Amino acid sequence: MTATTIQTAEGQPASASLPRNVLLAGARTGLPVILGFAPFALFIGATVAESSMNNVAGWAGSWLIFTGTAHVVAIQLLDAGAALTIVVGTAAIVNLRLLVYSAGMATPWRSAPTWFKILGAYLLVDPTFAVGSHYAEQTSDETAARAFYLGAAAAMWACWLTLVGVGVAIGPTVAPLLPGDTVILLALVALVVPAIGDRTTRTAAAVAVLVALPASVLPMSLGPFVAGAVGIAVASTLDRDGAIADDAEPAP
Amino acid sequence: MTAFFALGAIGLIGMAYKSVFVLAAGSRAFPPRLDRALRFASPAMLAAMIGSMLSPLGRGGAQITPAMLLALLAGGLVAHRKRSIGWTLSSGLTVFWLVSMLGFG
Repeated sequence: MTATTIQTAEGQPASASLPRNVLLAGARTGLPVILGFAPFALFIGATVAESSMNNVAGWAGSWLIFTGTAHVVAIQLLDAGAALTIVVGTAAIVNLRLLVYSAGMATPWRSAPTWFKILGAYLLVDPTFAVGSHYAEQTSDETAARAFYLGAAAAMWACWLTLVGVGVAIGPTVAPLLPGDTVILLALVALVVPAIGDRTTRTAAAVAVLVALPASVLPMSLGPFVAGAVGIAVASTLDRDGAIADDAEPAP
Repeated sequence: MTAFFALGAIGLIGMAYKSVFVLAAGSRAFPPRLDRALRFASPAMLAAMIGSMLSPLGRGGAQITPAMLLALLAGGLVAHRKRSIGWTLSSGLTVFWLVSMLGFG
């Protein structure tokens, strides 16, 4: 497999000898990522402000849940007067993809202390997983990988909570001015491109996109989870059968 | 109070999802086949989210405009060349605003 290279905000390879430096490198890499999701955070804040829910309770979802999609779905359902079981059940289905992220970080964090596993798991969402898993692939130093993840994820967490709070305060005014969908898509592109390092990962991504297009009609936002699972399954099968050769492998 | 309870319950279920494999794995390694499959998790799940947003079928899909498509194309090319999140966002948004100013937003 061709090694992917994560670069810092300055465009330099994110490597440092001291964990503190790696923590800071992680934070510098994480901040622009989460800023890409700023319009989404503002939108969530605006949704809270415009709902009948108490603003503090609505904002608390940003740290209680810490996944934007489930948060906004929960706010909308609560505002519509849905039963508690429906709200919790729907959000639980929307969040199913987090199981994949947990499995993905299990190996890099195998030797981590329990406190890190709990804290790392709490901070594990789409962008933190993307940044953390890429860096873990890039380095053999598990301590550095964990420090980088923690720096990036903590910076993203603090920034996310702040942005949702700003959204509650001024979201209804500012959110319409930002091309929210475009910014989120660009942020996702920026995260996925470095993760595509060889033909098998390209296959996984291509299959996932193709399946996601029709799968988006599935209820309760199940589409991305199903499409991602199919992408992983197809790429794994082709990889196992040798139908796709890694770019980095020498020709026979 | 109901909102706090609901959001807290969702958070607890999410935490269970996120920690189940991380904590259960302990010091044991996953079977090699599963371990190899998991390296596809990041590109597949992120690409699935992009596909889902671009789909005209989903309720939550983005409204696709020429400006958005050109911005994604530019952002994708820059991401491929520079592998930098900042460059990807700034170049994509620059293209988006330029094309929008020309009336193709």
